[in-house]
Amino acid sequence: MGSIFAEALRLIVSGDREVFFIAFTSLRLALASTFFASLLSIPLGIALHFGRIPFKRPIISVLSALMAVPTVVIGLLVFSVLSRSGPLGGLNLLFTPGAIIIGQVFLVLPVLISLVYSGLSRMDPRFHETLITLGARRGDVLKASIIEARFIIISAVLAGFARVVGEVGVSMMLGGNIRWYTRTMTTSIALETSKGQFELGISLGMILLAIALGINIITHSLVKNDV
Amino acid sequence: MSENPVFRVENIEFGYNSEPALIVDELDFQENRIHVLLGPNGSGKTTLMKLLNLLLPLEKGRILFEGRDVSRNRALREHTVYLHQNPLLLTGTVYDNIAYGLKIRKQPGYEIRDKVMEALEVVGLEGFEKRRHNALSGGEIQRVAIARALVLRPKVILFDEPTSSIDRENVRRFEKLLPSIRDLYGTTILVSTHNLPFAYRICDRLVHLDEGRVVPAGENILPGRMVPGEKDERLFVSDGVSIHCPDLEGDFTKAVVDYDRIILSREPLHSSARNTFPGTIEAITPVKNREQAHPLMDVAVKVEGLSLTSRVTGDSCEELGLSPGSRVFVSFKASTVRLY
Repeated sequence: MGSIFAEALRLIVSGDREVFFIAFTSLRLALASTFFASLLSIPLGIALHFGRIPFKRPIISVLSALMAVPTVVIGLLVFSVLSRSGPLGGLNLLFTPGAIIIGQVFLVLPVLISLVYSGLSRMDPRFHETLITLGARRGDVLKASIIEARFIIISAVLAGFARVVGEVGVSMMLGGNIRWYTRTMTTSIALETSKGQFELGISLGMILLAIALGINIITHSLVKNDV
Repeated sequence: MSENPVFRVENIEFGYNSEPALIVDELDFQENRIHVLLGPNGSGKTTLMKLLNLLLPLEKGRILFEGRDVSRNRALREHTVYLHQNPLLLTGTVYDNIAYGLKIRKQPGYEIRDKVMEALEVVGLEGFEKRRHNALSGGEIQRVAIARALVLRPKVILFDEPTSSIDRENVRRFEKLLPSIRDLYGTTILVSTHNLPFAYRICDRLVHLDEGRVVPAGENILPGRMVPGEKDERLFVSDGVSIHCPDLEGDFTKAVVDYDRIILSREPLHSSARNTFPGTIEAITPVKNREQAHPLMDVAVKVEGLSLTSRVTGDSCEELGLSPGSRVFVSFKASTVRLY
């Protein structure tokens, strides 16, 4: 077992091309999907909090339920849309990085909307009244809320990134785990483990752990600064 | 209608979860005065303040601001600022906080700077402009919040329980600050509190609230000062009238005498009461009290420059033949005078 870990470490330290290509692919796809999901979810989360939206509570309940949907289910749904016989089959996106990004956006969207909404809901109730009594209008309140809740929003985005970088179902079903193309850290770990070749899997696992740790450290420091 | 009411409240009703929290038939707040809403927790003070600032939606009745119905007019907020019990500062510096209201009104930078610096001076926080919001004590936070309101030059400032989270020294500082704000900017000030001595010290007018209703006042609150009298005793002088009072050390500015401690008579009383003054009845008004079986009357008597009210039964009023313009004597013991 010790030799497996030593070999895994050697792969990282020596800068193994495949290890770093896979890690880079994972990060690239996760960053892209988190970016696109954030563009949609941050305004939606804010609108959900401040807006007079009908059926707000049922929407929040549905979003909470969607957060728990297994990644393979999201993968399956998007697969059925992107497959040759599906409505968007003509775009030939299946088994491309683009397909993984689309799937991951759907995966993380409810997570991000819920986190932004609940983060804003946790803000001090005096905040809104203070702004209003100082003469702030709707636009001023929105702007001040985003500035005041910036750490909450950044924390939500980081949590969303952690969710997509660590998922395997969407990447496997929509990307197809194609070497030098759509293979990500998680799909690679699953494959190498099934083959009984642990070195590459463990080295990727170490990188994944380092990323998770880094995200946690950043999130904690943001929360601390927010107090 | 009272003279120059900045706010007039008519027939308002408000409740939480269908439980009535506030029912006010009629209430005026005159301009350029310090009005104190006094009552225990749950008496409706905060509800009334938030209704006046339209932070709560008015369900029934109307609110007039300078004679205009503003019950649902959010433009009112340009003229009033509400300060929370524990004011909240926005993340940033003291300067950022005070300047916020001016920035959203798009005032020029030099004007913002001048007003912020002036407000800091008024609240005694010169040199604090670069301090972060989280590097301030409770009293300093409150003064920043006051400065944040002052720069907007509001016609009315509503203070909700301002003494609840500050120490005694800051309470004293606040007591001195309020009249200076009123006099400097002509601001009408409403303060809610359950702190009786504090209320007496700062008020120009006291409004008692209990269980969501305005209850009739029951005390004469006399502004004045302590002066040395004869035989080493100290007297309280209010509007030219020297009042015998308990011989206490301190710079008292208010003397309080309950209505029902004042005796009215047609002739001067030969009694142990040290205070007896001749006066003329100004007005006689029945006391609005739901629980009182026998009618009570508040008789306002003018004693030189001072107005003193005595609460008597309707029967006494009749037996003494009291009517506006009648000459009477008012008497009360020195020991019934409370000093604040």
